[in-house]
Amino acid sequence: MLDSSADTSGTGIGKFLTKTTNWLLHTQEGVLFFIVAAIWLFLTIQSPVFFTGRNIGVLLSQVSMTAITAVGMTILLISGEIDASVGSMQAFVGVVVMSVLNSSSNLALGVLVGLAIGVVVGLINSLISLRLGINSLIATLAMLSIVRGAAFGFTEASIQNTHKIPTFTEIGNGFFLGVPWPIIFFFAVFLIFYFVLSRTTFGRFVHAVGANPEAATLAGIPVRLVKMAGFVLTSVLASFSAIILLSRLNSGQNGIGAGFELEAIGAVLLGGTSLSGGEGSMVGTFLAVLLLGTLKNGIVLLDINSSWQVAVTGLIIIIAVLLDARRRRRLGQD
Amino acid sequence: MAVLSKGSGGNSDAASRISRWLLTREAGLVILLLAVVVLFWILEPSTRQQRVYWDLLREISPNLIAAIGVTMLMLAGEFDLSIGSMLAVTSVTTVVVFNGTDNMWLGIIAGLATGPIVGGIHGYLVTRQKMNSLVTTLGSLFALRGMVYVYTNKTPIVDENGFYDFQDAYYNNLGPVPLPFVLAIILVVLALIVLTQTEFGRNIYAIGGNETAARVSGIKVNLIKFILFVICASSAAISGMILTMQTGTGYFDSGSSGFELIVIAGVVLGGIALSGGKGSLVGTLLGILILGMTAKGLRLMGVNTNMQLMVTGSIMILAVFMHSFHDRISIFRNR
Repeated sequence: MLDSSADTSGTGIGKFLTKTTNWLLHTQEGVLFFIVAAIWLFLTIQSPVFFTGRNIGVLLSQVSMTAITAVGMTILLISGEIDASVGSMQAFVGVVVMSVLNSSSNLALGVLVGLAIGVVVGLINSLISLRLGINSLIATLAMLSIVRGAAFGFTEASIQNTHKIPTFTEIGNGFFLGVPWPIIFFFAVFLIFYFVLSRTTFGRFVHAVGANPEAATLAGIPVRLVKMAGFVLTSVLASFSAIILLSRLNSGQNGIGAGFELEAIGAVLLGGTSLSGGEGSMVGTFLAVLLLGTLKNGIVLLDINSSWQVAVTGLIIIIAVLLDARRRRRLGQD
Repeated sequence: MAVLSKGSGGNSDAASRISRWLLTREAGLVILLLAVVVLFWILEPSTRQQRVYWDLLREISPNLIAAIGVTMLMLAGEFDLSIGSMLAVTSVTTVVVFNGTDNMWLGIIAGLATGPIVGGIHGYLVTRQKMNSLVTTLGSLFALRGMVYVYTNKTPIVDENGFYDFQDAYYNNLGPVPLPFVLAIILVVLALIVLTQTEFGRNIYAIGGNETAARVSGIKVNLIKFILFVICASSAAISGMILTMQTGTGYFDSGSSGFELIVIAGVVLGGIALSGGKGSLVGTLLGILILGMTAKGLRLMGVNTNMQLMVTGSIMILAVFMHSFHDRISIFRNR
């Protein structure tokens, strides 16, 4: 597509249009893009506040935590595994990092400890799933309980910010060139792993391992190593989300993040990534996260009872999966 | 599920049967259950009273009843994650109809009817629209809970009539046995008969084992799956009814603290394979008992509720590891 030179620009544009139309009509990403665009248009008309830099900034900052975790989860799901423990990680990493910051007043140390917890939990997840051969859904559901227990074991009450490091507050609430830091983190993580997934050998390995582990093994791909990298990556990105969340809340709370795993996994699946592995889309995840965030934002802006947030999230997941199932059947019949 | 031989082949036959039974999943679970009971017996003196165990059976009844439906559905290779939200739907519907009609039976019927309705929707979406059941029911987990929140505005609905018969049913006993557990055991036995003695039951295992083969051999896969979704949501509705009896209020957050995870943990602990087709309801019963006893023991010892989660998680990993180890041994033995 990109190499169509100036003299064939007519056919180039024609091709581009055909390709765009196909994308809109025949892919999960297209369906999601259409839904997001429709809701954005609707909200722009309904509320004067919606399409303002400030509100879009709030919207994207709010979804950045789910989004960053969902990026790792996308890669893990494509490789054919899953991590349900990311919700409890929000609490455990939060309480530990806050207490490290309080006792050391060293931001770098606190962040490093947080990410190190991600590495360790990711390694434990992969050890249980890959070495002991326990289905990763069950293994990480168990870890969801264990990590939550660890958070409550670490502290009985929430840990307040007593270190007053100004840079720490900036992570979740500051701006860089007018753009909130969480959005910059979110876009950076997304772009890096979009590139990793689509352009690198590792990305190809992830797809191959998820699509057919036996064939991948025969082809000489280190299946376990690739899956292990997926587990560690998801867990580390979940820790990163936890640090941003910690900065936004300004206190380490041991009960936070319940249901976070459902939101992250739900977004990835909504984005068209297959539960059985081998197939998935980073752009789809991005659009799905955006969709869920937009719904929550819209419900607040239109002054609708906030209880609707939960119900609408569920209904949208069902509708998106329904549309995807219909699309698959239509393509199957062609 | 070998039973002790009735003296037909003498001692050696009985001995070999016992040794064969000791290698089954159920035997491992019975040993694990006994180990948990003995452990708490030693550690916590208050578990040495008989009353504790009757209370335990009363408390686990809702989990056990919901687990029946989840087990049957998982045997056919499908999931229902929405059972926790179902509890709230049933609970709120029941008490709202109580207050609206001043009639206890109408309330109970309306509350239980929510089960087949929601299950029917799941069944339709999965079998007709070919939607993935895990994601679909994840969606309805949110959708149902959200609708309950919207309807109740997050306030508990009090039973204005105060139907004492209704609330007594939870606390009453039949002899020494708690009434909810009597109901749970009746349902377990019924489901066990259906699973092991009827064609419907054999077909469930066939679908879970190999869906394509089942379809080719003329089994009505879609119809059976539809029925199983209805059974699963209905068993969750019965659980919701029992929990409503316990508190006498329509509670919007009923089952919101991971009810589905605890039930699925018990089912998996009992040896039901996530891929379907393998496992037994007896295993589920034992799995739920083990988790229930562990939680109760820790609670009596004054361990933080959330620390209990840690132990539950560890037991889950241990049990699944045990099952996969058992599978490897049986492959070895069959060579």
